[in-house]
Amino acid sequence: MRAYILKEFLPGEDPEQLTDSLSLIDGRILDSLATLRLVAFLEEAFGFEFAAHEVGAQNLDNLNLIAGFVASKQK
Amino acid sequence: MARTDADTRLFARVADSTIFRYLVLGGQLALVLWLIRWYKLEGQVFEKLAVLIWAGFTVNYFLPARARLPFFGLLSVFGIVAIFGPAQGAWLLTLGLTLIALCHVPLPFGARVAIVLGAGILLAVLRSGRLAAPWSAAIWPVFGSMFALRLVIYLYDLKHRGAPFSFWRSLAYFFMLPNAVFLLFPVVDYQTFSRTHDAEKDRTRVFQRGIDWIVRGAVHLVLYRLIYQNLPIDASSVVDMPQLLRYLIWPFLLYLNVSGLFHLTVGMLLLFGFNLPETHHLFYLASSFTDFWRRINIYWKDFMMKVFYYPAFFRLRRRGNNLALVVGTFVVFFATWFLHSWQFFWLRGSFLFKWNDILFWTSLAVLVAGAVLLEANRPMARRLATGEKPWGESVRKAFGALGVFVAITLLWSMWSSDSVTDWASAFAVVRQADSGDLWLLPVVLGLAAVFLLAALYFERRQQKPLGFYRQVARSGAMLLVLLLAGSYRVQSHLDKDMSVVLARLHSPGLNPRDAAKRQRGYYEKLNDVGWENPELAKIYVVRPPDWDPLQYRPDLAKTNEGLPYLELLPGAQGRFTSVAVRFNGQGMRDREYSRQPEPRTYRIALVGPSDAFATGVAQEEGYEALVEERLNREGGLGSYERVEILNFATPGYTALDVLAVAERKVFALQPHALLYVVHVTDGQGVVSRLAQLMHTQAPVAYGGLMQFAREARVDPGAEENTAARAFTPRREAILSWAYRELFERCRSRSVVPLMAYVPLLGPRDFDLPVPTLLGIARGAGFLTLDLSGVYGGRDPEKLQIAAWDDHPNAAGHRLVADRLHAAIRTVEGSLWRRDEHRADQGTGARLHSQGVPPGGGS
Repeated sequence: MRAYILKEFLPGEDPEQLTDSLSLIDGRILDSLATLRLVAFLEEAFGFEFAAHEVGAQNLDNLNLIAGFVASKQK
Repeated sequence: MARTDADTRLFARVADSTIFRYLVLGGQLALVLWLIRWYKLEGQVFEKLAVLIWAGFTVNYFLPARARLPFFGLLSVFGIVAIFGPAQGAWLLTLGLTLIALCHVPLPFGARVAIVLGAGILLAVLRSGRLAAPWSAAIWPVFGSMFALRLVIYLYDLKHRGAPFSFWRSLAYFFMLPNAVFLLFPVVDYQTFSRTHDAEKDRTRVFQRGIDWIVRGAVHLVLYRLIYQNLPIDASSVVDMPQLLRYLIWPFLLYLNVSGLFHLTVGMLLLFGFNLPETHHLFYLASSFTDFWRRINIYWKDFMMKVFYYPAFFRLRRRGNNLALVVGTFVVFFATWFLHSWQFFWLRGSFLFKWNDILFWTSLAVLVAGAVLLEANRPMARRLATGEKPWGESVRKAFGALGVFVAITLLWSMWSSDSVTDWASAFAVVRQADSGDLWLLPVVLGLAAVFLLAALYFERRQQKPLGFYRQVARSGAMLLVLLLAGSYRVQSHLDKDMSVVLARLHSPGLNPRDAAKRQRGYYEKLNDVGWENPELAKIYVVRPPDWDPLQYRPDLAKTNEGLPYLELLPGAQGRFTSVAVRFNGQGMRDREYSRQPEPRTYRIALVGPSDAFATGVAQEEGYEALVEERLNREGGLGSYERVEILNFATPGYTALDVLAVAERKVFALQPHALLYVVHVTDGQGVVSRLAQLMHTQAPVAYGGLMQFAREARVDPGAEENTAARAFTPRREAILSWAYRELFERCRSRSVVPLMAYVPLLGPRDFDLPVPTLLGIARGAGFLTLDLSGVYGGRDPEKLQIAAWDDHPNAAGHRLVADRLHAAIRTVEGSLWRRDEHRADQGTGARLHSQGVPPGGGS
């Protein structure tokens, strides 16, 4: 996930800066289009489907939240 | 050395202590309170709310974690009761709690939605006035602001269980404290509201961010006021290229009002631990149309994404990504248009429907959908706020920002105009541009360069997180700058023009342009003033229905096609501007009068506009009644034992209406004198009325007026603003013609023509200088009474009938009556001599050059 975000959205940025708690949505790194691309990536990589109400800062605002959400969907 | 280390440790301990940080935060809030009071930001009710928030912040700061949410909920309830009073506050709370309870009844979700929808329809019927509600209409706008949209989000999150629910959370969410004062409130997301409360470890950083945003909001509001009070002009006033530029740019800049209010309100919520995100982010510098949509009103964008965009996208994405993106975008903009109208309904009681509103949202939808497709197929890199950005990318974004700013400025000016044709008419000056306008080119290029530099700076700056005390220093410095800019002492050192501009920073009311137009009942004609003009919108939300101008009151007055534009209905009575009015059998706001004056009774006919009519005060409190009573108490005028002043004044009358009503009604009652009350807006008054007559192709009985139309090349049926623009350079000539015509009609009937100049309480646009106005009157033959300075030295706000209406109140009328009475006494000799001339019809000639100076006779 980290590699995907760095490559797709933050090319050339220092990987150290992308901490597990860095705010991606409230921090204005992921806008709606980027969020939908991330959703498509997660669906394809982890084999589950998002519902519309699951897309948002509550699940996708940082790497910790994304990991937790993906884990909960795979249970 | 050891001692220094100890000192440093002690200092650090003190600086980090809870009490010391509270003192630092509380001290800044005290400065904020001073600022609010100093600039009169958002009125006295907000001032009280700010004190309550300051006190609430203090309590909340020291409360244990579990007590904070209930405390905020209870404080919000207390705020509502304090602002609306126990009875109306209880109604508001009961209605709200009932709706919240309906969301939680133990029934399937669909059934609950149906019940809430049913309750909403019932409330909407009550709001529309079709059914009488047992509570005051004053609570509707706030109720609508709290529930009209938040209920949608609440139900959405309830359905998906997206956040924890409890009584205190719901209470805090719907009744959140600042909302009791701010009708225009950001659409706070329930999930975010719950998720962010007390979520950050260091609460003082959240509180400090709240103060930062409050200060930023205050900066926006002060800038907004500077722009609102000095920049707006009408399409009809656009006569050259600089004015076209001004006409196009001011509406978008007025959006600072919304961004300022939202920063202020969300900043207040942060003071109670709700660590909410930004509401706006440098929206004037958006580098693409999608970027603009993401930066302006971020809470609205998030609401739309959550409730409309993502559901639409996920439903359609199997049919193709691009299709889903475009349809989702159009769904969002349709919902935005409809829900703005829905909000408007709860604020005003009627839906907003303007063609330029529809055109604006459609145009924006097309631009954003196009940009979405571009971005979807050519993804752009994002940058960390702390990282460096390549120069090429920054320059490209800066030019993009300039392009977006120009496009949105154009769209916004169209949106804010009265109609699309009105907006388009302003561009007529482009055809008249010549080499004389070339000086404007370097000015425009200079402004563009400044804009590009600003865009580059904000794009390239690296935002490192600031420490607590650095944030304090930044906010404190901004507060001091604001306080200094508003200081009268500082302003007295500036040049006169600049100090006049800055002095208006303290004027919370309408600007001269809106005040002048509202005085003519202009905005009631539109009947759909939206939030693109925040000051007017605020007025129309709080103003009671009986403040509608008389031309919209068929129970009290009838409108005419020609002149006069309006006549009071004989014998009509009712409430107008919150006072009882009753018109006599001759259609005057006065007692009944015989057809002829009684022997030894001197009869004066008073003609003029609304203040002479005594708008907003009882008839016996108006200066007409006061002067009449005083003259009679003193034994009359000259050899006349009694005095009658017949009040023919009618709101909105211009010199053209006065001329017509004099012929139709006044002279039939055989007055000895005609007293015409005028204001500095009389010049624009005749221009507007003549433009209206030409536009409506109304019959005009005066050849002289039609001659003006021919000279100005205004044909019958011409667009009203275009006609007004053509007549404006001739306004003094038209006014002079009207005064001469009135004078001639007085002279032919041996009626002494008097003209009294009475100042308005507030400033107006389109003003003629007083010496010019009185010069025209004297040139026409009137004996003039100059009441300049009649309100001198007094706070105008204490002399006006309501916060939104600067007609004089009873105290104001007493001041005018004193001066008018004295002025009449000064010219008394000229008045009663009139009878000596009646036989030979020679009156008036000797009066031409006379005038009573300001303060004359007092």
